[in-house]
Amino acid sequence: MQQVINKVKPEIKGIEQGETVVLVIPNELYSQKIGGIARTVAKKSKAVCYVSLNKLINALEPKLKKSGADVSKFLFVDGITKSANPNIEEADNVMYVGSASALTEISLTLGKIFNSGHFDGFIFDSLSTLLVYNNPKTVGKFVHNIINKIKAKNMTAVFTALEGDTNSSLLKECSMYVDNVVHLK
Amino acid sequence: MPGFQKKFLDAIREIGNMGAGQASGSLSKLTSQKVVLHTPHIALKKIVNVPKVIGGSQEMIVGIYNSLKGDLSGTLLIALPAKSALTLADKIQKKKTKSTTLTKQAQDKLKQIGEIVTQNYVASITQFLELNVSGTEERIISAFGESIADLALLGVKGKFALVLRTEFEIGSVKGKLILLLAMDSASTIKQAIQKKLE
Repeated sequence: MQQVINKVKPEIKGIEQGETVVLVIPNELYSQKIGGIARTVAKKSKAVCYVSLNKLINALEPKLKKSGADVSKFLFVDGITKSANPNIEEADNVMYVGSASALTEISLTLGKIFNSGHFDGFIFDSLSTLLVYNNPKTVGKFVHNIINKIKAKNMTAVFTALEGDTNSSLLKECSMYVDNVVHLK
Repeated sequence: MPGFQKKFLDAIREIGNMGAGQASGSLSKLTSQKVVLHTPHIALKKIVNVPKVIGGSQEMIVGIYNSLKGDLSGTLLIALPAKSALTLADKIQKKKTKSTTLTKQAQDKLKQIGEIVTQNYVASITQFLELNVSGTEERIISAFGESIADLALLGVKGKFALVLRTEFEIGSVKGKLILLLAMDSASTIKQAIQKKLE
């Protein structure tokens, strides 16, 4: 039986290979922490799939580089740009999905990426954005679906959630499927 | 910073005010509530500084996004905290229970608001300045914090942008109406104003 431990930590250096974690980040620290999270996951991985529902890739990539993350290891799944610009063209390291409301499209895209076998690191940013369009139970099922695929590949996975925009129902749902829920401070 | 006299910025602010004022009448009928508009803030900024003018809110924001085309290119964005977006959609649908997620129906109602605002804004520009401007299809976007500014800037090319920001309230709902124009479009407006003043 898995044990969920709610820890309050200043960083996530202790994340283990193959571990799945929900990181609850205070809203005011989100911009500050996201670079460090990407850097940590990249250090532990050969290749990382980064799903971004909060930041456009053209703004995220420079931010991650500045934080010292090795972005050459990243494949980005951008779930935000296409909602404003449906005609955006795909780039070598970016796949675009319709929006944060398109759970099926996101699932299918991630399925293809995971099945390639290239990736051992995963970042999902963020679960809170999914809550705008979906209830916690639906988001929980979505996370469960993704986790099953991640566990089959022994991938290290981090799901971010914003402290101020996340409710306890979401954390309760997701805690059933992940190894740890960590509250960053 | 390109030269842009105060009188032109004031004139653009006034045109934006007219558009927002006309839109507020339609919104008031739609929501059966008074719409309060605050004095618009106008600024010419380097693109990198635009997020500070728009405001990098530390909460989830829902935006009703529209691109402008024709004689002007830019973005018209209504930015609402997620909870306000839900409240506003509930008001228009006259729902008695509070929604917790933005359903397709709620998104369509918000797009309706976007359409009203765009039509009124564009009408004030086209009628007064005799420019040919129209909006594209409304889109619902959501992002955290300063990312909403990054989204708004997608339709704006160049090193500088003209930002017109109007804060508004509809009952408990608080939001921002943001017009972002590329510099060449700001210059087009300036020339049209000059022509009017001759």
